[in-house]
Amino acid sequence: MLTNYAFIGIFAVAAITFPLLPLVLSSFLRPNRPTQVKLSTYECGLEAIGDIWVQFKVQYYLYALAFVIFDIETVFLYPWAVAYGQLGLFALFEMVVFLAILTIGLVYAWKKGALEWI
Amino acid sequence: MADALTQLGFASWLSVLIASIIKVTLILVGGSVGMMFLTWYERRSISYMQDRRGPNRVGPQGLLQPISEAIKTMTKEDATPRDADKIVHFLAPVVMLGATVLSFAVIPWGRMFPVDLNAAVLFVIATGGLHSIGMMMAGWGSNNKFALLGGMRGVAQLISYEIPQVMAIIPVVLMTGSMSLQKIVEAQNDFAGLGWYVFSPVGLLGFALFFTASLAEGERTPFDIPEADSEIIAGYMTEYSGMKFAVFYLSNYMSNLAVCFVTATLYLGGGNGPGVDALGGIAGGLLSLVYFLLKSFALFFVMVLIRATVPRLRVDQLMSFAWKFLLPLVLVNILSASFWVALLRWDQQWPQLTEWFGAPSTADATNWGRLAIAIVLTLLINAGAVALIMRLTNRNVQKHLYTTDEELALGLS
Repeated sequence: MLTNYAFIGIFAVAAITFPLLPLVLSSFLRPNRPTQVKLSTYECGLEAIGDIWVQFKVQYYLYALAFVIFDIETVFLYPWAVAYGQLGLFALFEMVVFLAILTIGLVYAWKKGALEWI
Repeated sequence: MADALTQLGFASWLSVLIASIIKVTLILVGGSVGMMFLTWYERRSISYMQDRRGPNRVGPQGLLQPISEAIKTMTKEDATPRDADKIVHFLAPVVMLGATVLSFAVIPWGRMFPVDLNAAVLFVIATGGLHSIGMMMAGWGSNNKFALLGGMRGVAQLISYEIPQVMAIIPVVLMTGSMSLQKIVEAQNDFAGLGWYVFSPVGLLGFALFFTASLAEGERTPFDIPEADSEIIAGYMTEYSGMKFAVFYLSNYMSNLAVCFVTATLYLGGGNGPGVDALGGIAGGLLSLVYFLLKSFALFFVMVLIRATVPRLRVDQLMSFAWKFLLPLVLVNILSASFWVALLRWDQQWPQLTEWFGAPSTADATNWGRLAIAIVLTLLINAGAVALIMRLTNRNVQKHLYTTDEELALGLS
């Protein structure tokens, strides 16, 4: 088990170096002639007007909330799925109840219009 | 491999280290070569679908085109905007590609498992989830309106499709009783290597849902909203040029490749196929690798086919597809998967039912009967759910087409 995670650790180091390698390599090969215009923010060829970090619609926030709820539910579903074989009939009924509550939550969010993109 | 090195006289920790480094190098080289081949493969095949030739000048059949493009992007100037957050702007592609590459760690190459994590499925999901962080960093750090819009849209899309994608794997975990990819591959080895999960009703629906959600996770057409070039320039990649842009591109293709590998492992039996067990040994291992790669590339071909045929969705269509179509179906699929497993393993894991209804005999005939009951039941549940949700979606579409907004607001129709 420990060797497995040691392998993952080595792989993680390699995974971080993998994108850095071409970036560093290209910095030796490419030209670097920055000009004032070249470094300006792109906006259809004009000067950028106003603040960039604008307000966003609240819908993104609702989706993020719904995501958090359903993501936590998956956290509960995975251990259940792994242990399902050992738990017997109890696990089935328990999970039917859990899924029913989930579905009610989804239907509620749907009816309330939290899932509409307006 | 580590054992062989220990026999050669290396210390045990050193031999593990050397073996790991060799494996990592092999996987990374294989992954990048595979990705280069895939860019060529996609461009060539999509060209023929669109009645043109595609890249065919550099090398035989244009096979060296990816290499020439790598050299070209290497030597391009890389401009970082003055107003950008330099560190975040630089780190975003690194995070994206790093997460993608990390997901290659647990992928089984046919019968060859570089590592057997007992939570490999969770590992794949976790590394996939890191994408949204990289995208947000790119969108926020560029300090550009288009980039920020693209980043926000992209993150909204990724988190929406992550839920059906993650939940679609649960039936597989249920049927195997483990999250280790090695156990999942072994469990699909019945019926002379053809007992793949995709052949069960539960697995079939799970496969369709997982693959669709993965298309959106990998920003493939028809779900390429984050970089919809006709709407928001290039989305979160607007301010990227030179090698950094190429790193995003690389990450995109490598994550698509990883998705094909994972789908082939979870639903299409990984390296299992007729003849693998009969051959055994190294020849069987090589055959399983061939099977695995064939399945993965077939899946990639389906991706290209979808790209060539389906137009891009609108943002609201995209969101409602995830929440109102995929998510209910995924929940139903989990339910029918639990019935499926219960019916097939009745005598092993259901002592109470055995007490009430008597133990089913283990003779083959009864097992076939139970299999038939399980297939009919889950097929009915799944097909019914698909039909119902299709009807609902159709009615919603027609409602929006034929009624005015005022009527809708008043709830008249």
